[in-house]
This record gives sequence, structure tokens and C-alpha cells, in this order.
Amino acid sequence: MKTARLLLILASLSLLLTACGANGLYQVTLITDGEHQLTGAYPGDLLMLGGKATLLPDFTLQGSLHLVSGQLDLHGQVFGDVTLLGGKLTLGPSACLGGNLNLGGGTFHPSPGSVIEGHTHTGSGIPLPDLPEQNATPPGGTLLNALLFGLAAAFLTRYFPRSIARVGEAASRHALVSGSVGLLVAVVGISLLVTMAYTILLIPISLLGLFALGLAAVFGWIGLGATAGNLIGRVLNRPLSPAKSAFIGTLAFVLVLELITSLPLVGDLLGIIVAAIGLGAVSLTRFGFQTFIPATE
Amino acid sequence: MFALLKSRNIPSLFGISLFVGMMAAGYYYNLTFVQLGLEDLGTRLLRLSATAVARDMALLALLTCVIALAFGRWMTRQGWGRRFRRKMQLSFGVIVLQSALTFMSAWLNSETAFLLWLAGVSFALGVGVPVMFSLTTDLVPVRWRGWAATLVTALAYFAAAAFSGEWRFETFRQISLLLLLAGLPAIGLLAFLRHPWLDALAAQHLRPEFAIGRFTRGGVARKQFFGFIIAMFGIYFVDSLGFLRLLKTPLYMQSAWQSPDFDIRLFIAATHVVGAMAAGALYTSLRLRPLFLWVVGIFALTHLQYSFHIRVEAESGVLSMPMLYALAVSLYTVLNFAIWADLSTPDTIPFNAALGVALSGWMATFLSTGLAIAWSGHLSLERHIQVVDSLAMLFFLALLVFAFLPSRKTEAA
Repeated sequence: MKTARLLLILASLSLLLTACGANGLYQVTLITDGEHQLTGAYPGDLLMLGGKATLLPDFTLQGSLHLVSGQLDLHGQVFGDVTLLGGKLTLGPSACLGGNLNLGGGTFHPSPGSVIEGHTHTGSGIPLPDLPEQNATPPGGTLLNALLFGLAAAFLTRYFPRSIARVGEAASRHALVSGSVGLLVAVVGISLLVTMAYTILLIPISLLGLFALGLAAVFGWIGLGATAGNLIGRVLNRPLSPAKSAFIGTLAFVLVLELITSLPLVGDLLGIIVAAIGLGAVSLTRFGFQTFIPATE
Repeated sequence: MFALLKSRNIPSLFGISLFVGMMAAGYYYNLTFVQLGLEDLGTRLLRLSATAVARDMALLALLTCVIALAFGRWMTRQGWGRRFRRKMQLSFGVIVLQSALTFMSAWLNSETAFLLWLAGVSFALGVGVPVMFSLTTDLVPVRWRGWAATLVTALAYFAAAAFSGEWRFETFRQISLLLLLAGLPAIGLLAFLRHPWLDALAAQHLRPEFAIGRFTRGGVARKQFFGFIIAMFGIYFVDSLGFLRLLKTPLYMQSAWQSPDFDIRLFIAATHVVGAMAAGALYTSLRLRPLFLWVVGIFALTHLQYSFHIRVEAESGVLSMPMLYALAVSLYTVLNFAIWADLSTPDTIPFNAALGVALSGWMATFLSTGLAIAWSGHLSLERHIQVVDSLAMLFFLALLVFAFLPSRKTEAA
């Protein structure tokens, strides 16, 4: 029964992560090693990190091409931009670039007859590749997110009141330590997961790790929200049940956080700090299973 | 720190500022002039072979280690750990000697002169280690040692990383001379003048909040103390052995520490500051085992990333690698500045600091330099970094095993 409840909670929490995903669909072809000959139509972008590839005359790429390392012979057509950061890029006589050519490093050999329809940028002033922009949050989307977080908080507080309280206490009473640990977990964790993904074989573990990191961040926010709920109850001088208090606190917390992160200049930094505090509090309390007591106390 | 500000205990605040200023300047001098400048002096200006310079630097490390241990032992026997004024006078002497040696360095013209001059530098460094580190029990209350170490690390690394784009001996010599000559009259006044503030600082070591180190409350077992020395030695060794090779790889230097782009150097400098701040917060709240695990774990990950990067034969550097490196270095530097005083009392600090810094830092530098010389001829960059990574992983796993072993219930565990 306990396991089933735990699985149910994990599944419910993981649903919240869908709110963090990019709304647009992004496709990329990745070449890291070996020799390849590509032909036909490719959607999205092409990223080359190593190896050797020949893009034949009937090859077409809808997005942009980024060459970081390796050797690429292009004879087909690229509709987006081509960015050369390292390696060797050769444009065959039949090559056609629909966008700009950005030369930031590496060696470039154009053949007579190759066509570059856009501009050619060189040096360190090359524009960054266009990433698919996340669509603006639809009207009411923020409120819906906040409601979802609030419901999750009420649900977790109902079944795991002590865990949520421990996370909230660590985040509010030891914000500096929680923030520091959260920052380390985030920076080192993401670096580790990206490194694992490079091995190809460990991609599933890397994805699982990313999922766990996201889950921890969500759990941390809920802990902070529950603490905010207690504070709201005290300020209003109205005793609320723990679940109600967590719901109201988390709802308010997510809305305020949304407001803070939309501030120019400092918004993103504040968002990162709050996320780090939540993540750190979850790490210090082992997902709320133990109380964090500083070594000096 | 805010509590100290609120209490308006100006002599105490002055004492902390004095400690931070002296240690940050001293560490900046060590990081730039000694570790980077002397190599340039040997190879470019004196035209010595890379192997000869590395051998001379290894000798410098060994000599510094021996002098620090001998002088630390002697200070402890003389009871100078409790004598603030004597330590300030010795610090003044060290700064005078360092200023003179730095000034004279422009006239070195042979390897013999270089070696004799290095012996002088070793003497100044060897005496400086127990003297300056033992000022901690006079100037910094136990509660603020983590934060004082944070400030020292952040200031020294920020200045070294952001404003040292060109690693030339002449530049380092100029900046170091300026720093030493600016500090010389100030330290001279503080060492020889009498003032109520200085009298207050001289008596601070008698107060329990200064005298009883954080890890001495349950009594420090010799085994535990040497355990920390071994842990710090491992960290220094892994760092030094890896960085000595990266230092000789233009791709990784030009894209990070020696980048012509100021923004990149500023990013690394800011990472050092953030890392030091995180270390300060964690040092005061976590036990030491998790902190050591973090440091070694980050080093292992960093070298793994370098290893992957070398294997794919990438032609440009990736900033995440120096970022992780800077983070790990800041974490352990904060530990190094705080831990030896927290394992000591005013009576034991000169020798404990000498043991800690000399046996871990200088001995590791000596051994790693020697090993790097032996490997330089026949070991490829990829293999070198792989070996360093394996050592870091092995060390991480060993610490992990120790973390699960039962320990004495002291704060340090």
C-alpha cells in the first residue's frame, strides 16, 4: 500500500514537470564520430561534433548547420544558417546556403559555383544560432501552473507532512547553506549528466538523472510554498489545515516567483537563487527523509 | 559578520580585515609570482630547459616544505603561537625578504643564481606559512573562520584570474612589488607600534571563541589530523598533476585562464568567487567528509570532461571545464585556509599549520612536478589526463568508503 502510494505521488509530481518543457518541437541530427554520407531531406538542425560527413547534392536541411569539429563536405542545400566553430568545412560547386554563413573558427574552403544567399559573418561577432523560442505562456497558463503546484503541495502535505515540513524548514532557516548546496548540485549534476549523455550508452541514466533533478526542484518549491503558507496563516491570524495552508502558500509562491522572474536584469538571477535554495533543501534533507541540522549546532 | 558589525567591536573587525588582507595578498603573490612567474623567468628569460625549470621548482617546493616544518616546530617550542606581536614582527621580516628577493629577480642571469635565489624564496615562504597561518587564532573567531577563508580565496583568485591575462614574469614582478611595498610600511607600523587596538588583538587568543578550534572540542585524535592531511594531499596532488599538463596545452589555456577575451577571464574569476562563497557557507554548516567528497568528486568529473574533450579532438575549448575546475579549486582553498586553525589551539597552531600546509600543499607540488617531468617525454596528453582522472576517482571512492565507516563523534567527521 505504501509503495503504491509512493508511486502515485511520484507519478503526480512528474506530471508537474510537463509545465517546464519547451512548447516548440525541436529536431536535430547529431554527428559525433565515424564517416557518413547523407542524402535526402532532413528536418531541423544538424550539429557535427566530430568525424567526417559528406552531404550529397540531393541533400536538403530545413534548419541550420553547426560544425564544431570534424570534416564536412557540403554539396547539397541548407535553408538555415551555417556556423563554423571548428573543424573543416568545404563547399562543393553545387552547394547552396539559404541563410548566413558564420565563420568563428576552423578552416573554410568554398568552391567556385557554391552559392551563399545570406551574409558572411567572421570573427567573434558571429550571431548565436536561433533556437526555437518558447511560445509565450497562454493567458491563464501561469495561474494553471500555480494551481497545479498548489494541488500537488496539498496532496503531498496530506500524505508526507513531515517531509514537506523538513524541506521547508531547511530552505527557510538555512537558506544560505541550501542555496550553496543547490548551486553545487545543479552545476555539478547537469555537467555530470551531459558528460554521461556523451557516452550514448548512459543516455537513459542521464535522462533519469535529469528527471530526478527536476523532481527535486519541484519538491523544493513545494517545501518553500508550504512554508509560505504557514507564514500567510500567521499573518492573517487564521489557523488553516496543513493541506490548505500548503495549497495557498504554494499557489502564492509560484505566482510571486513568476512575477519576480519577469523583472528585467535581476529576474533570472533571483529565479536561479530560489530554485537553488529549493534544490539544496531537498538535497540536505534527502527528499525530506531526515532533518537538516548544521554541524555547528 | 553582521553580528560583528552590529556589536561595533571595531578591534575585532580590524583584526579580521588585517588577516584577510595579509592572507589574500600573500596567496595572490604565491599564485601569480611564485607558481606562474618563476616558470616564465626560468624558461623565457634565463633560457633554461622546461625540465630544468620544473626540477628547480620541485626543489623549491621540497625546501619550502622542510623549512616550514622546521620553523613551525621551533615556533611551537618557543611558545610563539601565543605571541601576536612576535608573529607580526616575523611577518614583517618575511615581507621585507620577499620584497628584496622580488626586486633582485630582474638581475638573475644564470641557473646558479636562480637556484640560490630560489633558496631565498623557499626560506621566506617556509617561514611565512607557520607565521601567517598561526595569526588565525589571534585575529579570527572560530565562528567566522569559514567566511574569512572565503574572503581570502575570493579576493586572491578574483584578482589572479581576472587581471592576469598575460602570464609574463615582468607583469607579475611589477604587481607583486607594488603589493609588497604597499603592505610593508603598514605591517611595519602594526608590528612595532603600540596601540590599544593591537593590545586587544594580542589578548584575543585567550578568549575561548578564538582559542578552541571548531574540531578541537572533543579533542583531536592524531589519526584524524593526519587523515585530513592525507585528504588535502590527495586533492593538491590531483589538482597540481592535472593542471601542470593543462598549463602546457595552449588550447586549454588560450580558451580559459589565458584567454585574450576579458569576459572569459571574468567568468572564471566570478566562478571562483561563487565557489568560495558556497564553500564558506558549507564549511560552517556541513561536516568535513561531505565537503572533501564534493571537492574530489568535482575534480574527477572535470578531468573526465577534459579526457572526453581530448578524445574527440575538438579544436576549441569548452568553458564548462575551467568552470568546474575553478569551483573545485575555490572549495578546497577555503578548506585549506580554515581547517588547520580549527584543528588547533594557540599552542599547537604553528606546527599544525606547517604540517598541514607543508605536507599537503608543498609536498604534493614537489611530487606532482617530479612526476610530470618523468612523464613529459613519453606520456600523451590524453593518457596523462586519464591517469589523473583515475587517481581522482580512486580517491573519491576511498573517501566514500571512509564516509560509511564508523567514526568518532566529533564535528570534523
